[in-house]
Amino acid sequence: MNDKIALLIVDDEECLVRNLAAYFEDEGFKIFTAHSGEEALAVMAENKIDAAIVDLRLPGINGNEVIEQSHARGNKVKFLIHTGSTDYKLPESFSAFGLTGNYVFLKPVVDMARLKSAVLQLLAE
Amino acid sequence: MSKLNSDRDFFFSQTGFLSGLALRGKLLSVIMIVSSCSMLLASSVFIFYQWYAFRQFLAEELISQAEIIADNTEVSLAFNDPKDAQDVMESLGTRDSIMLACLYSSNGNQFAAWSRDTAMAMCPAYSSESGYSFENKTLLVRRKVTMGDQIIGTIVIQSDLRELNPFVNNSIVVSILMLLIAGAIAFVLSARLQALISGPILYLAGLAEDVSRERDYSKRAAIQGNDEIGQLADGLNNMLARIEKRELQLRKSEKQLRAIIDNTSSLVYLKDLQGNYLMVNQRFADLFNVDVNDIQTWKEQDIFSAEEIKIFKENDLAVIRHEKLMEFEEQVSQAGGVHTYISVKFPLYDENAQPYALCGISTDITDRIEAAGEMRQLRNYLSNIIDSMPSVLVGIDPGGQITQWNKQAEKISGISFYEARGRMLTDIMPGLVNEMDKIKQAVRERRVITDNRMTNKKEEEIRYTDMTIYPLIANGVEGAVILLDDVTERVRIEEMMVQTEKMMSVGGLAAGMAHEINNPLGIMMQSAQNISRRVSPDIAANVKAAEDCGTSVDTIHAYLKKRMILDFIEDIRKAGARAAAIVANMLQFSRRSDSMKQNADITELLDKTLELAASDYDLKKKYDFRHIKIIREYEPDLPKIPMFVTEIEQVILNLLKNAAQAIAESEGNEEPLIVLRVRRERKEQLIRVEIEDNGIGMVENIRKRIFEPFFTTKPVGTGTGLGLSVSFMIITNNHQGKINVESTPGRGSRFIINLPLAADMEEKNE
Repeated sequence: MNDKIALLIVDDEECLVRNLAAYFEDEGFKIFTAHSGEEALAVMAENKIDAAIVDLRLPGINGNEVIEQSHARGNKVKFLIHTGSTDYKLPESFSAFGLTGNYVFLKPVVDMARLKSAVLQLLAE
Repeated sequence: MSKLNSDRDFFFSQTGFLSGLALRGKLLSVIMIVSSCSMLLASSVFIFYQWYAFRQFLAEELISQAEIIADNTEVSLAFNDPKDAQDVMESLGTRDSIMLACLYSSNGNQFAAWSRDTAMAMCPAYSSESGYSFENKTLLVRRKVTMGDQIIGTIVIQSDLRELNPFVNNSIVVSILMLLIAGAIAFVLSARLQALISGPILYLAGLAEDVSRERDYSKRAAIQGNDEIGQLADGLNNMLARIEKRELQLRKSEKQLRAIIDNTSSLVYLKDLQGNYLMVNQRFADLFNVDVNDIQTWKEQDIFSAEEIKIFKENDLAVIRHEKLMEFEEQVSQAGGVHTYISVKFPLYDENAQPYALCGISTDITDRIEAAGEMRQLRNYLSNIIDSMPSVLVGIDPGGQITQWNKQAEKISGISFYEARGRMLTDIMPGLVNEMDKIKQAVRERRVITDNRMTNKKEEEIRYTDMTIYPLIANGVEGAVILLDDVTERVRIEEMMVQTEKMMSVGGLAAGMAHEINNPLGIMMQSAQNISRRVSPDIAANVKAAEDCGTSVDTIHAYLKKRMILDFIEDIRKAGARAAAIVANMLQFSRRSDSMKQNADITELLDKTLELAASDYDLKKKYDFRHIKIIREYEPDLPKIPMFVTEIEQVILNLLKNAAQAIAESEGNEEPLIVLRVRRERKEQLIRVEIEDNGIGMVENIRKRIFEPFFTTKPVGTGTGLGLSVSFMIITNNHQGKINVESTPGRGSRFIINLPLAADMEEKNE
């Protein structure tokens, strides 16, 4: 595993971040974490990130804005959405960066393996 | 005149002797005839008398002559001297009329004779008689010749009657002269005097003529007197008075009649059998602009078209032919368009009972027809309104007999208005028996009474009816109108809305809580997953960490296993999963289909729904879902299809519940079984899902209606009757698919859902 996948986990809930980070570390990912949208953007600006699992409800700018701004800055980060909002509607414009309904996960995700396979699938596209 | 007897006829009849003469002439003639006759008679008597008297005179004269001769010949006879006697007798020759004289001796011998014409002379036979006689237009006188008392001879003298003729002739001339003079006088007098009689008669005649000519019955004869002419005048006057009175009456009644005829709104006219107008009323004249008094100045053709005249003629002829009053509808184009008339026509009869004319009375019924048309239209309009009402409308009289019955009533009851009219409402609609009191109450109290949501069960289906009773109180019409509205749909929709409302509120609550619950649930379960993973010997990092702590992963794992800690962790996970599932299901039911369709794997969805059904309280408790064997016959590698996941899930769940229920109801000994089949119909570009049970099944009647909204076989209160109809709507309307059912009673049912593949999905998956 010379070339670890750099995965950014963005959530304001520390327990969730810790769990996801522990799982993906164990699965051999290189983990970056952020607890707000601004922090996430800063991390993505400073590091080379391959994919990000983003919560929507964040302090400051929300998940959608993070994704939009990241793309606006020319970052090639692939995004998954991991949200507790049952009424979330995926903006149509996101399909332009390969973000479709298949990459929207509603909490709780009982088996984190689903997230891993989705990340791998997303990066493979 | 005709009644007079034949004698008078001769003079006065139109064909008699004096017929050619006027009264004056007649009178004059009569007088002249009478006077002439009497004068002629008088003259004749006079002439006869003159003739007779003169003959007597002649005879006496000749007798005296004979006496003279006798005296003079007495001696001659006595002395028997014929010569002397002869001489004496020759003296008779001085008188021209004496033709012969003969002297006979007493012994009858001719003694002497003298005659004017000796050749002819011949003495008559001797007779001793004295006297005279007229014989052969001669006068013969015999005279005895006496001497003393002794008859010594007889003298006979014959004379002709030449002296008589001039005398008679003179008498005739005188008579004729007298006659002429008297006639002339009579003529002059009678010519004057006849005026006494003829004058008044002529006056009366003239008066009569004047009256008849001038038709002035107010004239009176100015003749007084008690004679017959006076009586005649009186009679005439009386007659005139009576006629005048009658004439006045007649004129009055004619005026009335005329006024009626002229002022009626109908056209009145008389025509002869040839079709010529004899009389028209003022209205006719005004309408067609003709002269009412001068029928001859205009013609039928001036007024009517040839076509109209032809029709009139046909109708007129029919009346004449049938000799009875007939009615026709006739059309006439006049100012303001074509008008329709109803024409009453009848023949008029002369004194011989022969039709001689036709009277027509034509009334313009155009307005009436229009009004009738409008009324008919209005009636049609109203009955159309009544008939097009979706409500049952029934009119009844106070006795409860049906007077009105609209189309919807016919449709619902299957009884036509014709059959229903006059029958008792309760006979035809037995369901309303209990409502009769309300109907009576409405009529009695004159107020509208409504009775909402009356329930009745019809072919296993509960139906609701609103009844409104309107009492009829206007225009003396008694009774009521009953309006029955089938409000079943509305009631069901209301029920559904109430239910939806409930679900929505639960759903709304769930959605509000979901985020707050799902986050901790996620932490719980992911933590549990991490714990399981981090005590697992399979992960290299665990081995290193255990070594760092002076132990081995295997030891830890063995310990945890021994103390069942791993099981507890798994319990946490499962419990979390269940809680998550409950929240997710609640959310799915609350979420409306406003989210976009997702491409979903139908088999995955089926499994998920089966899982859900297993945890359904009703299915678990009532229908013992866990003991039903589920067979899955899924075709592998099916493409995902676009759908509203929650809706399809709802449909599947509903079908599973129905299947469980059907199985529970069946008392068969077979093992309870539900078969789920999914396969792709490539040709039709769809996914076919079958849900088959071996339950009770259903009869054809129910099978056909099973997708109808609010149709339910469940007891009242247990089912909404919505489930399958909503499913039907979801599949056909929201997914452009098809759902139908096959069933055999006692063997089971098979629901078949066809869901179309999306066009783009199809390409993508190929």
